[in-house]
Amino acid sequence: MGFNVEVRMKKEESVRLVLPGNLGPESLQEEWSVESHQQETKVLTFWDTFEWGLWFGGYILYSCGEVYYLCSREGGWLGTVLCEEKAEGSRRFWSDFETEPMRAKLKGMLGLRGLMPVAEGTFRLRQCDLRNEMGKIVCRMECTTVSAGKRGKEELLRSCLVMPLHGYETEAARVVDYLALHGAKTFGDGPLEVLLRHANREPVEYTLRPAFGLKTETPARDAISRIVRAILEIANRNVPGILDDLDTEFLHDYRICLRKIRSVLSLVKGVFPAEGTRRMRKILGDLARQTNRLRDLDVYLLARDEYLELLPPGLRPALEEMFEDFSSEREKEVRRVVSKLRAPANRRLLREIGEYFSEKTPHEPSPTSDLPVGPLVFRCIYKRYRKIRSISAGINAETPDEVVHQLRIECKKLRYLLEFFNELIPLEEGAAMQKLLRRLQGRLGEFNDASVQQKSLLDYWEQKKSGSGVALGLGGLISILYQRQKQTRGFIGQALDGFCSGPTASTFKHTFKRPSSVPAIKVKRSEQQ
Amino acid sequence: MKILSSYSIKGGVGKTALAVNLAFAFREAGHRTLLIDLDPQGAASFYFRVDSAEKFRMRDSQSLADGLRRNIRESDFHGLDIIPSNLGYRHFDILLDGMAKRRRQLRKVLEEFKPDYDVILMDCPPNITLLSENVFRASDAILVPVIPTVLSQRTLEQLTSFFQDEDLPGEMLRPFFSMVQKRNKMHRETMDELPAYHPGFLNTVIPFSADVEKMGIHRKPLLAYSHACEAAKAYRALCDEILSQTSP
Repeated sequence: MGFNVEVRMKKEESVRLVLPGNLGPESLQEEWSVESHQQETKVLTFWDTFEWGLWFGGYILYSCGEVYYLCSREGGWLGTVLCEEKAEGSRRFWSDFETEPMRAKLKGMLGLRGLMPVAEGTFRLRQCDLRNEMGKIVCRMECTTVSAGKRGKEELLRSCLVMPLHGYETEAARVVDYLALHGAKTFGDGPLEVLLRHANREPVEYTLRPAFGLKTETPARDAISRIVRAILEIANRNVPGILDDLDTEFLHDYRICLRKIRSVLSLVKGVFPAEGTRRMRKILGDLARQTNRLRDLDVYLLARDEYLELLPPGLRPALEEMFEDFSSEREKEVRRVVSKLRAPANRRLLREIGEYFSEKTPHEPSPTSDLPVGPLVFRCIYKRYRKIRSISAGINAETPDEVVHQLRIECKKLRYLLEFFNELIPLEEGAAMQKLLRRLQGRLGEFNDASVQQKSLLDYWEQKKSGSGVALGLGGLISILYQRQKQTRGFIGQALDGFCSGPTASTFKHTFKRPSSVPAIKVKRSEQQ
Repeated sequence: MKILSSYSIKGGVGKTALAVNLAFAFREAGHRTLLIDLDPQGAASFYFRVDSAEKFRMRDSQSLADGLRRNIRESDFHGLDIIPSNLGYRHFDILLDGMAKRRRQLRKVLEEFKPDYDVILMDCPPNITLLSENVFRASDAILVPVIPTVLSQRTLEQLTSFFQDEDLPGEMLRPFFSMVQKRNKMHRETMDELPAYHPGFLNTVIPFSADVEKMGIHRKPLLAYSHACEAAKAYRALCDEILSQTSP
């Protein structure tokens, strides 16, 4: 592309300057003859994901006309163009791109995330040549002004790139000196930063595991409120993405957030009055349930290629039919979920949770509300770990699936506790325990997925009762999933050995076991809900 | 990297016009090109508006290479650099004379530029000296403009005999017709006969053109201001012919 060819050719030596409003190449006319080329105007749309995967990956993706360009990011400045792709129609996921370099680069940074426009700007570019008294070009400049939107008038940024010619570096240095003397700066926000600020956007690292600023002695109610507020905030941030159905991860994360809040209320008992806790857990459960089917469908559809690959080609068309059914059901389900989320009743429920855990809302004291959170949750963690050990002791090849399922749930609870109260746990021990737990959870997750998926494929068959082709495809897939489930069983044993072994147990014991001086808190069953 | 030279014993035959326009044509064809103006008259440098080179000491091949490198100037056209002329080049002979392997020193120096350029083109002074001999031994091809006249024919023969006497590879001589006037009967007759005696004759013919003479007014290569004139097309065709035979 014509734009920034110069940047690529002489990048190492070129100097970029941010210019004040009254300074430009014309200011250099006393010393050099300035020859301006025709101005080029381009409208650039910048793309990124909700998580700013490209920005934090060190890249900028923009489109101009029908062409997408991926370039390196130098601060908020556009660096070298690494690959480009002409695209008729839109591109949302990495897999929508067709050229291999683009797909390969984007895959890691986007994952399942969809692209959305994050800024749009009009770039006016003008190349200028500076000539000496012999008429020889001794320095080149590329001047750029950036304004917001498609026909933006207000200049948000004026900059120029001073590009020396080989053998004429002294002249370029004099140009830079002159401009610097008259207010030009070698630093400053680049076009993308300026446009993002104008659009009131700021790349922020996104995480489902924020820090809550907890200390061991923080009163439990204060600690749990902080956790709930932070996670609720993440849940709320995900809602617009669900409404736009930009990608599947908004709903996924929204559900995780609801589940986490619900868990923290039951894992650390007695922190809030029983009645309020019950009410909050019910709301959170109801909100999550509304989206169950949509998430199931997302999971199936995301696994589409993997499933099809599992079957011999002859059986694949039958399965395609199922995925088409899922796909059209998903369309309906999205509409249903969106209307639910938009409904005032739902919004009221989310608000109610926010208000309940607000700093300003007073609540009656409850059995554990004022206790220091550290010892309280350490006791919970240790209890959870012992429960996992006791379940796992009874697991063998004949154990019913339900027990493995129960183990999975317990592990998830422990994982949440370790995550929520990560700040209170010694770094090294915390990391080691989480690593082993993650491995175990991975295996349990595979086992559970294989088992749940068999069931839902059978359910689909029950409902559909369609031709024998579909039956054959489903049958094939179910037997593969069954084999996979059986195979995973063996791996679970290995992962359990690691997690429940003597050394891990003693790490848990010396990290979390309550010193005998701290009295145990008895919470009545009615207050535990 | 290919090293070419534009050379003629006789002056005024279109030697510098060839060097300047051919260098431009190579660059147009996407080859990173370095033009070295070895002619103390500095006409090629003048056409590119480049000041004469800074003086530098030429004690040995390394200082010669360093001095040449320091004097590289980027022309107004991306991908085409020039080392301008320097009156000091007239001392080249003395320098070379004092060196071991004095007839092959230049090749060694130019090899240093290999990573940066695809083509090096030298515009040589119209005489036979130790420098010329170095140029001959450094070049992969020596492009010799020949006006189809008796006098030019004679100088080409002189050059050919020099090559035979000095045991230089004669096939490196690549003459071609320059400043041709098709209406001129003598030109036509010479063009019919001469190539038969010189197997390396290039097919492309550069016509006489007033546009070429205006290079001094425009101070840029013909190809940069009169892109589509006959002479410009001929220079481009010559570039293609050379590339097809000695792919750089």
